[in-house]
Parts: sequence; structure tokens; C-alpha cells
Amino acid sequence: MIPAEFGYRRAASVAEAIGMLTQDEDARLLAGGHSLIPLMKLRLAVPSLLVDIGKVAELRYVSEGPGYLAIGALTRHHTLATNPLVREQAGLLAAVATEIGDPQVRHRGTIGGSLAHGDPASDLPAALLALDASYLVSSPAGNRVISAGVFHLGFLQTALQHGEVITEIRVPSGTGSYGFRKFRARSMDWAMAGVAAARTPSGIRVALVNMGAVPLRAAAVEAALSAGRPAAEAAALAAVDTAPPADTSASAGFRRHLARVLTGQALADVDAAAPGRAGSVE
Amino acid sequence: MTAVGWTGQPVRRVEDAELLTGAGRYLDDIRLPGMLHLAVVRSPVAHALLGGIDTAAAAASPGVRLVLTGADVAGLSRLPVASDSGAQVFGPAVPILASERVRFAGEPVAVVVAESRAAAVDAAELVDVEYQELPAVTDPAAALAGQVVLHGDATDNVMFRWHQASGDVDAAFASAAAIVRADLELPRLAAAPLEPRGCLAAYDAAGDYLTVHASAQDPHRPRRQLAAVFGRTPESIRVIVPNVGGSFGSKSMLAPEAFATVLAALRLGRPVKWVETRSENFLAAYQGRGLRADCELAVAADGRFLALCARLTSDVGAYLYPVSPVPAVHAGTLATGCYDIPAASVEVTGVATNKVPTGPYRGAGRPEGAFIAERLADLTAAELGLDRAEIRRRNLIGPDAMPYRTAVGTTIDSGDFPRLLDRALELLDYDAALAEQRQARDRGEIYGVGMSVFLEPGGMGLWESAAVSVRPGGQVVAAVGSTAHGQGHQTAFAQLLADELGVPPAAIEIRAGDTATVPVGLGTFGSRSAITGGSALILAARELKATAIKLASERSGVPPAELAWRQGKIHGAGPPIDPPELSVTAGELSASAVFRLEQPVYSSGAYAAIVSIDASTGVLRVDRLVAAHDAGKVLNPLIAEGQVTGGTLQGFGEAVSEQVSYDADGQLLTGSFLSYGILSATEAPVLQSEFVEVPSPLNPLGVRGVGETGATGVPAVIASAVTDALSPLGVRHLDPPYTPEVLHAAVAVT
Ligand SMILES: Cc1cc2nc3c(=O)[nH]c(=O)nc-3n(C[C@H](O)[C@H](O)[C@H](O)COP(=O)(O)OP(=O)(O)OC[C@H]3O[C@@H](n4cnc5c(N)ncnc54)[C@H](O)[C@@H]3O)c2cc1C
Repeated sequence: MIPAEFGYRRAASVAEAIGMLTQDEDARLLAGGHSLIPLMKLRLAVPSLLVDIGKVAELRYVSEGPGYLAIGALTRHHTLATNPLVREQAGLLAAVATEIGDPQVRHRGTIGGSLAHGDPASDLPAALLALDASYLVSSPAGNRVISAGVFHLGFLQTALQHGEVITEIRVPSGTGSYGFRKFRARSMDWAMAGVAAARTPSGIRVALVNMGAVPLRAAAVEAALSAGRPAAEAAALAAVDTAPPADTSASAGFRRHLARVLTGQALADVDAAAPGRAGSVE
Repeated sequence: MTAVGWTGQPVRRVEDAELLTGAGRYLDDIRLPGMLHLAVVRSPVAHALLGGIDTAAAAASPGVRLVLTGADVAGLSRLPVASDSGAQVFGPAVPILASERVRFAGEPVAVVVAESRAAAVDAAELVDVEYQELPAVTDPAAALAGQVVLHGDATDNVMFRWHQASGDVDAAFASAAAIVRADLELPRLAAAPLEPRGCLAAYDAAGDYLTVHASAQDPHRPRRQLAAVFGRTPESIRVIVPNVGGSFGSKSMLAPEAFATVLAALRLGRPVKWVETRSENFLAAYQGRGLRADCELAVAADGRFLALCARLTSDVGAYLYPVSPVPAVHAGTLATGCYDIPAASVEVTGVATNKVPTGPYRGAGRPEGAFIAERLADLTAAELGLDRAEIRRRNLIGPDAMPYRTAVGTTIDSGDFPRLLDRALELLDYDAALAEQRQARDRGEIYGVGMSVFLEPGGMGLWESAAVSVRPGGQVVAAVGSTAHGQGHQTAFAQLLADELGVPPAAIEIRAGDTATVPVGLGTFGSRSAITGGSALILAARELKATAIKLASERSGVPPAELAWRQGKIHGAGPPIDPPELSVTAGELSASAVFRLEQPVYSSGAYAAIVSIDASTGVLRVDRLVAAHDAGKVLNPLIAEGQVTGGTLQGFGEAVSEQVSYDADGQLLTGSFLSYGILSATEAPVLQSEFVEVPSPLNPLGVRGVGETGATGVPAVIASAVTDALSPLGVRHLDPPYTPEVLHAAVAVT
């Protein structure tokens, strides 16, 4: 539980952080530290240098952009859960954030860290996938935008290159009702399986937590819904093309079963919150 | 004696302010000048021959002062394995550091001592050990079959045996109307104290004096162990137990790593501290439970239990601690439960597997015994089509049959089991619950009603010591052998003494946990402290009063009968005398006493519960949980309730989510709180509990044990309710933990 030796520097700005990162191949950004520090204590991560962006004020904001809600990468889970703008325009994120870990975790963990860590059991990446979000990334080469659908490449692997910093999370405007279901045996647990569903301008999007190596879209469910199938029938397809883990808390089969049950519940919430609209997209 | 009457009052724990504000002093808070730190090199594999160990790189690492391996401990005595469990023990004892072979993943192979903890951990990674892997065995049945042999020529891997039989078992089975069979398994559990294990050893070569701070349940047993292993006199060793962040049985023996720490301190002449990490606690601290029971109950047509035949297999793990046989043997002695069963044959076999050893964990055999007896009662009811309360009433030992000697040789001193069961069912409103169940089932719900009755023998070890002294001005200092590690002795013992001596609790200081200031005692385990420690205190206080009166009489010439102790002073010989004035040693007047029990004191209780199971996810919900306990005289209802509540949460964790898992190669799969299902307050069921106070005749306080009640009664009552809920689906029995997946599978299969 003692990390290997490492250096530590605090960055005052994104530019400074990028500069520090590019000088050292084994440097890592430190945001809330609630994923990286546990890995370091287990010596599963052995960075040479931590570049702490915890005090970079320019990364902490929620504002309205053109056609999207802009969320600074350093926004803490607690802020997501309570910020009026988030609650109004991206209620799904607020609902998800309230169910992450415990109060301590929610006051330290950040949205950017949660994405960059790339754990398929994390809740926010799936919710952002359901919301069709995209991520603004800065590096010495300039800025680029990566959409949620191509951001996650594998277990703890993302499209981020060394030296790249997520600066902003963009959630398209116009999202309607949503549903979120997280199944866990204990209140403090990560999701055994989870489902985030949202009515977006392009139809109902459904994404799954902890059902594969990356956050997955439930494509078969979405297709069934857009073909006009009833929600219950669509939900039965939630486990199609998933590859959930098997571990001491659940088998892969039980996770598949949960995905179907939870999808049905999440879709019911999407419907319930939008009276008059049936369980399929018009 | 006095009108104050502190005993029995809900006095708030005086310990809490300090502990809750971070002012407590736990082992890792103690820093001695020149202190070094020890890190442990552990086997990554479950079974291997040890090849070479290359310590050169570690020894040369910055700040490293010493590296020890198995060869360095060869000269020490092995830990004793003899235990007073009554089992025939074959051993072998847990080694301090492995030599030649490792037998579980996490077994200590070497230790590194360095100037800082970080330096020690860094250097430990540099110790190069060659492991020639051997096949591992993790399943006790496979181990018994000799699939892999752990020790020498013990091809059946048996580490201990115990057998008790009486009555004509064969005749009972031959004449039985029904034979009820049950194969039960209780998985291994991790005690998971918030503060993991650790110790700090310092050696004064000039005075040849060893001082060891240890996170332990008491100081005297560790001192005896240290004396035995290092061949020292107990007088040359001082053991101090600071605040302890929980133990639940898991610190009743010193860890092997602690002996290595002491050896390092002896070698280096500098203080050495070892504090394990959470991961190490999961890997290497001894675990609880791990018991299979293969049982048959012979039953008469009217439901009377005639004879029990049970074979218990304990998954002991790789080695024996002296306490390792205790839980399984205890389970054997309690397998007949609260029932009048005239004949029994109970056999316990402890089997070596390539896993960390097991030992006592809250309940230590009581929950296992209750689980066996209560599952058999439920299964008999199902087999005969009788109500589960009725089958119990027909078989419970009645109060008029006390004291009752069971067929497994246990004598239950007293108790009124039918009354406890009736009271629990009354609290639940059993008939209404059954009516509601019929309606719920009509609605398609999965709804279960359960009950359990259990025994909690307490006062184990059967003796304890105490000393009490009075100082000028009425300050009382009491020293007790039984050391609190969360039990609230400072509060409860002060209440007792306050009444006995007529002084306010604030004037009483309770000392424990230091062999230098506390008379030789046993400690805190097995629901014993109030019974033995509390009684010893009262005896010492009475002795103190008698001595004071005798001395006052001698000095004043007033006959003893005319003198009285009131409010900490002696009255009747002119102005009240302050007892210390009577002392020749000046300063204080003291007395000490030892309290001895003839046999354990039994407390008992009954739980009842209503549960429902969500068919779509398998989630279990506890709708009601009620309990009636006979804990004898309750000294402090707040503390007693706290014990019941904490035990209930642990018992509930055992029922629904806790389980240590290994893969087939002996790798631990539940090595952190992410994967090991310990519960938090959010998951705690709401318990409605009541004390039925029947004073025990076996001790002057009339107390019985209460520390293990929840842990003992709850797994059995949840099992009863869950199997009842699932019975329309054809489920007879399920082993815990009742996770959503297990329950969903039970629902979905049918
Ligand atoms: C007890 C506990 C329970 C938890 N429960 C949950 C849960 O239920 N659900 C859930 O979703 N999560 C849970 N988490 C994880 C938590 O949400 C983490 O805080 C989060 O995943 C990571 O955010 P962070 O700010 O702490 O990142 P850090 O740990 O600081 O960093 C994580 C990784 O992201 C990189 N990084 C951080 N910020 C950026 C950035 N702006 N740009 C590029 N890379 C960056 C870091 O270099 C590092 O590799 C839990 C954590 C703990 C400790």
C-alpha cells in the first residue's frame, strides 16, 4: 500500500500541465486521484512524475456552449450531481453522479479522470455515451474533439495519447427524458451492471456499464426501439453482443440477465418521464 | 450498599469521545526513537518448494538494516499447537517464516527491515525467491482424499480430530420414523478489523528486557507465546496493547510476522515496527468458519428428535494456530443446539488445504452450531409437514430440565428457550406473518418467515483476574486482565465498581492491556469479559473493602461489625477514614482477586424474520428482524445493544454477502473490500431486539455473554426465512451467502 517513488509537480494551467507531461514519458496527470492513487498504492501504476491539475481553475466550470452543455474536465462528481445547469440540461449525468461511490469519492473524483481512466465499470462514461457526448482534448499539437463512441478502446485504454489532456466534455443539447439503473449488492459498490438510457434528438440511446471491456451501446435495443418494438421486447436484447466479466460478485450470465432487467426499468423511466410517448421513438 | 445504582444504566461510553475525535492511540500511532520498519516478502503461489532465496540486492538497498529468511528462525521454538479444545491435534504449527516449502499464497518467506516503511517495501520487492511450484489443493474433500499432501506423510491431510458420542445412536436410527439429512457448508469469512495486525518490538540489551506493543486482544497470551518461542522468562517481557481497532477473534494469537519483528528487534537492538496493509490482512490473517457438516437426524413420528449423527469437516488451511481447532470443535459441541436430543455422535475432522489457516471469528463455532441445529429443525418440519415453531417447541430443552447435559457432553447451566422463542415470535406476530405470507404468495411474491434459537456459551477460559486500589482522595484504579478492543470496558467496569465502592464512575480508572501494570489474566474473547472479568473486579473490590475494614478495626479498636464502607470511606470510627491512610505501603490500599468458573455460562436467544426476494434480480429484502436475548443481567443497555447490533450486521453479512474465495490454484480472489462483501451501515437490517433478563446463577453479577449473539442467531434465521420463501419452488436448503445471483438462480431454475 506504499507507492513506488515518484515525482510530483503542480500545474497552474492546462498549457503548463501539457508542458510538464511532454518532458517525461512516464508522467501522468493527477486529477481527483481516486483511480490513479489506488493503482499506485498497489504498484500497478508506477508513474515517474505526477502532474497535479487539481488546482487548474480553467478546467472547472459548467457553461452553455453552442448546441451543447460544456463541462470542464475537473468538474467533481458532487458538482455534476448538484449543479442546476447540469440538472436541467443533462439530468442523466446528475442522476448518475449521485450514485458514484460515496460522498468522499464524489467530492474528489472528476469527470475527466473518470473518462481518462477508462474503466468499463465506471458510470459516467456509459452515461456520456448514451448522451452522444464528445470530448475536447488539448495537446502540444493543438486541440481535437473525440466522440464518446470512439473514445474507449479497451479495458483501461482510451484514444488519449501521451501529453493529451481532456479539457471539456460536451453534451449535445436537446436531450429529453432519461433512465439510469445501477445494480450493486452494497451501496458503496461499483455497478455489477448498469444501464443509462436517454431520449436524444436522434432517438433513444442506451449504454451499458460493466458489460464488456469498454462502455457499450446496446445497439440491438436501440434498433428494436427505432423499429417500433415495445420497450419490454427491446430490453430483452440488452445483452446481445456484450462480453461481461465473470468475477466473485457475479457470473457473466447473471450480468447479462441484469442488463436485460435494468434496461427494461431504465426504458420505463424514459417513457414515464415523457407522457404520451410510447416505448419507441417516433 | 449504595443508592447510586450505576449498573444497568444506559451510560454513554466514556471511550468514544477520544476514539471518535482521532485522539485514540493505535499501534501505528506509536513511534519510538530510532525505530525501524519491517516489510514482509510473501509467497505469490499457494504451494511450492522453496529454491534459493537471494537477499543480496535487498540487503544492499538504501536504508536496509536486516533481511531475515526461514534459516534465521530455525533456532526458535515453533509456536505451540497444543490447545484446550479437546481435539487430538497432529499439527503442524504455523511457521514464523517458511522454510523448504510454502503452503499458501501470502505465506511469509522473508522480512526486510529498513529505516523507513517505504524503503522496507521497496527492498522487499528485490528479494529474489525461487519457487518450484507444486499442485495445490483448496477443497477439503479433495485434501482428505490425499490428492495433494501438504505435510510429511499425513496422506489424508488430517490436522486434528475430535469425536463425542453418547446414547444409543444406532438404535435411535433403526427405530426412527424419519431420517432427516442435511449437507451444509459455511464458507470462510474474513474478520476484516478496521485496524489490521501489527506490532512494535523494542529490546533493551542492558536490562535484557523486551517490550512489545501489539494490536492484540490482550497482553498476557502474547507474552506467554513470546516467552515460549524465544525461550525467555515472562518477567523479561512486557506486552502493551494500545487502542485496538477491532479484532473479532482474529488477533487472539500473535501473527507469525510479529515474531519475526521481535527477532529483528533482538538482533538489531533497535525498535522495529510491523504494520500490515489491508491486502496483507486479507491474504495472511487467519480466517473464520470454513466448515462443512454432513448431518443426519433420527426423528420419531411425532417430530421428537431421537439422535444426531454429524460429521464436520473444518477447512483448516495450511497450518495450525493453537486456536485453529477451537471453532470447529465448538461447533461440534453445539450441533445439538437448544434441543433435547438423547443420543448423538459428532465427529470433527480438521483438514489441511493450501489456504491461509483458520481460527476464531466472532462466534467461533456458535454460529456454525446454531446453523446446523436450526437447519435440521426446519428440514424436519418440512419433512413431517409440521409448523416450524411447533417442531421447535416439541424439542427445545425446557427450563425445568436445567442444568442439562447434552449428548455431546456440554452442560447448559440455565435458560428458558421456549420462552425466548415465544417472545421472538410474539414480537414478529408470527400468525399475522403467516397470514400475510399466504396473501403475498397469492400475489406471486416470494415471501419467507424464519426463526432461529441459539446458544451462546460465554466465560471461556473460565477464569480472570483483577486488582483494585484506592488512592488518597478517593481515586480508584482497577486493573483487569480482560482487555477491551471495542467492548466498552472502561464504561461498564466503572459502572460496576462505582456501585460496589460507592464512588462516582468518574473517580474510577480502568487499566488494562499492559503486563507491567495488570495482574496475569486471560483476555477478551468468547463472550467472557463481563462474566469473568467483571466478576473478578467485584471480588477484588469486596476484598478491598474487607481489608480496609479489618485494618480500620485494628487501628481504632472498633469491632469490624460496627464499621461500614460508604462512598469510598470507612465510617463508624470517628471521622470517616480514607482507605489509603490504612495502608502500610503508603499512598494506596489495594486488593486483588481471581474469579473462577466451574463451566461456561450459557446465554441464549431467538430471532425471527420476514424476508422477501425480488424474482427478477434475486435481491433479498429483510422486512422484519426481531430478537429476544437472555443475556442475564444487563450492565449497560447501550453497550449490550451495540454488541447485538454489530453482531447482527456481521451475521447478516455472513448470510447475504461475505465469502472468501480462492481459485483452484489457491489464489485469493477476494483480496480487497471491492470483492469481499463486508456490509456497511446502509445495508444493515433494522433490528428490534429485547433482553429477557434471567440472572445467571454462576457468577456474582448474574451476567451472561452478549458479544456473539447477533453473529450467532442471524445467519440461521436468514437461512430459515430464505428457504421458507423458496420452499414453494421446491428448494429444501441453500448454503449462504444468499447473494442476488444465488437467489435468482434458485428462483429461475424452478
Ligand atoms: C471507493 C471508490 C469507489 C468508487 N466508486 C465508483 C463508482 O461507483 N462509479 C464510478 O464511476 N467510479 C467510482 N470510483 C472512481 C471515481 O469516480 C474516480 O474518481 C474516477 O474514476 C477518476 O477520477 P479522478 O479525478 O479521481 O481521476 P485520477 O485518479 O486523478 O486519474 C485517473 C486517470 O485519469 C487521468 N486523468 C485525470 N484527469 C485527466 C484529464 N483531464 N485528461 C487526461 N487524463 C486525465 C490520470 O492521469 C489517470 O490516468 C470510485 C473510486 C473509489 C476510490
